[in-house]
Amino acid sequence: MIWFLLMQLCGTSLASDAFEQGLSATRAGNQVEAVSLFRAALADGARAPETYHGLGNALYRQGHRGAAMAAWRRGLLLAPRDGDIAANLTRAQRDNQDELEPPASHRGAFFWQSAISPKEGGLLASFLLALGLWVLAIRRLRGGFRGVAPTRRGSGIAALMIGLGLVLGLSTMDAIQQRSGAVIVVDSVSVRSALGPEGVELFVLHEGAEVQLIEIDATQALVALKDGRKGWLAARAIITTDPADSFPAPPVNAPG
Amino acid sequence: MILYLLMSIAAAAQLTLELEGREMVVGQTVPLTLQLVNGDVRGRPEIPVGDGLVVQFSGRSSQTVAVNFRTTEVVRFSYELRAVRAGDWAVGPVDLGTGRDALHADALVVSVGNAPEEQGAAPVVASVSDAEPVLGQVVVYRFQFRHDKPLVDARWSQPAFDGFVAEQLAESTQREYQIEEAGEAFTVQTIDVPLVAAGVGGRSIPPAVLTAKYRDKRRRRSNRRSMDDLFRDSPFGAVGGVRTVTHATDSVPVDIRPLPDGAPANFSGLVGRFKITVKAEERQLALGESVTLEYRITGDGTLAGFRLPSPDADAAFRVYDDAAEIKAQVRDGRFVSTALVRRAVVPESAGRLRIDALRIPIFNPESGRYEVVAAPAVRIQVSPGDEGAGVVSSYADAGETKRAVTALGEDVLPVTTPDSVGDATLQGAWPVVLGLPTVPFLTWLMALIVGWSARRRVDPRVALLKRLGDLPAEPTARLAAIESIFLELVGLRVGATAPSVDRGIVATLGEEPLGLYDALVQARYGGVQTSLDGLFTRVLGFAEASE
Repeated sequence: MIWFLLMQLCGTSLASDAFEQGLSATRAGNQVEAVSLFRAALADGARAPETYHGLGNALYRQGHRGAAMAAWRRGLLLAPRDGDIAANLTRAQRDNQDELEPPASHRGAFFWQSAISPKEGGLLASFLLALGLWVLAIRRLRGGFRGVAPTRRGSGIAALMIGLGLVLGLSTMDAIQQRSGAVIVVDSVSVRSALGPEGVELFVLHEGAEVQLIEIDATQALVALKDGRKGWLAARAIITTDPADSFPAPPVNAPG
Repeated sequence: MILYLLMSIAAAAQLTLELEGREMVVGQTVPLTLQLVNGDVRGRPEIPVGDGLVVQFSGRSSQTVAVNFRTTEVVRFSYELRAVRAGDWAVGPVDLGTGRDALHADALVVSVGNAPEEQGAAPVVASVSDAEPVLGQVVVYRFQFRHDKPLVDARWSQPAFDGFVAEQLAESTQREYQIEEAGEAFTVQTIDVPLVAAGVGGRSIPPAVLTAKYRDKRRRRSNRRSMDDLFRDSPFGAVGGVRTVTHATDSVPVDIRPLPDGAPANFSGLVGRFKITVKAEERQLALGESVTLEYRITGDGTLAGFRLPSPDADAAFRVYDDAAEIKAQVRDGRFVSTALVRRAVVPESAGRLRIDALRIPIFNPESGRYEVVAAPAVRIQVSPGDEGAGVVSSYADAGETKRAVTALGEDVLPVTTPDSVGDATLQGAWPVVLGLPTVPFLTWLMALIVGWSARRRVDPRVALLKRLGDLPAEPTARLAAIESIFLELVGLRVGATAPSVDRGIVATLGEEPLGLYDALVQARYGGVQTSLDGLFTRVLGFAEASE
């Protein structure tokens, strides 16, 4: 019950008309309008898995497979247990030209990252920390303000909750760090060793390839592959997978 | 003794063939035993075997057992049975004419499968029975592990079968057997997983991973100790250690083809090679009675959800079908399924009844065509029964038209409409995430600071007691200190400052403090000689009484 209330409290009730209209446009077969409505919903703050799911579907039907994958990836990061989004992403990945290992669903021992979204992890961590701290505070208050040392009763529970909260908090921060990825959204793009004409063309990535994003500015982005190769490419050729970023308009395909 | 002999003679002779398991693969050799109990035979019995098997005599042993004054003599003829060709082959029967009577051992049927897949030096290999199946076809994914080292444990991780769904009626099967190749013995383990092709297009079954733990024998050390000699290479000891090795197969590419156009209108959805038979319980019956027909369909495709087609609406009989009894299994890498459907047929008129051949359109992946498998027509003689029997209006249902849903295409999965959409990012929840622990943290911090400052305050009574324990030695100074401490103690008790304390104030505390006050005054002015130690003791008592 407490968890439900917490989630509701954080929902911010940004029920977006644009989202509803986007769904209607999708059902009416107007994918171009659906894309613009879903993007408007995101701009309104409705950064929900359903919005990204709908946006991905509309982009996919328009033929923007890479952009659709970026949208679904964002949706999956917000709702890791959503099997429909995962299925769509898997289906789109089948058409990838580049044989790249997909991003890991979790890091090392943080196995729950593949099932808990950063928001859920953050709230759970916050809740556990709050509980642990309340136990500590109540113990201290029961000792009064006379400076009497508190009893050891409850200290184990407090330590356990604070410890769990800290671990979950670390895991959440790590999950946010991990999602600094991007998807190639143009037919193909050259990855170069350096900015400017002296840079050497290292390799070519194709639409749908998922890369790790190291650095990005308005025009260029430094990306890395799982095998350790790094290079610069045009920023317009990618869409980041961070759900908190704004979602750009799908690009007009042109070799990068 | 006579009784003993009689009982020995009375024991009946028996002959049996014993073979471990009924499944082999080409190249495998298993022990075969012919056991003769209480019989007598000269020479070496010959065991006839099918063309795909070779049998070789390897020895003879005998044993006599006496239980309850009855002796049993058991003679075992041992053979080695080697499989050389795939198929179902008979072992036996064996007929022996012993000294007392003729003996017979029933034949056994051995199913010989293909030799394990050639895998070269690779310890694990994966394959599918058909790399280009059509939609709805059952393929068997085989994972094969071969090793010649002592194995402690092995676990495999099943890969994701993209484009396939698990066959609902059959489970994965696992086999283990020994083979010989180039004079070396290997253990082969296979896991067969039946799958139904469900998604059209090129797929790749990712590598299957096997984690194997081998017992790793260590080299003998030159300076080994006696305990080492006791347990080295012992099966009970942990000497030798365990080495964990991970093996992975290659990916298996699969191209799932769609069913070709031109499917007949009444296509059953069955994909595979099938045959169907029918058996009638009886061929003659009276009007009003029913006859049960047993339709058995067997094939290498899935029969999940299979139902018999209904007869024509104008048929002169009604039918009632039981639920199909469907069995499916993977045997030596081949998927085999059987459905048995019992159909009760109730004739509606007397005379010669012909139940037309049951025709089921299927798709045969081997020929690449839609075909029809048919059970022969059944003829039944229906005699007139009781008056009125069978003269009932047909209440047969319109015919069962259900069939498995055929996949025609694929698309992305749609969005499920939520009640509301909000910000699901962590950034949207920052106020709550940070606010929740902040309140208890500040509360705890405040309690900590207040408690800490409270601990730093000095109790004046304790300080006075401390001063009382640290009095100067010189008598005048000692007396002044005792008097000062007493006045401060009184001041603490009455809430006044020490200089303001006079005899009247002390008198409010009672006779004892007043007496002490007077004694201190007298001592100061030398009126009455009172010992300092006595005054000290009385002030100390007053201080302790002030607690």
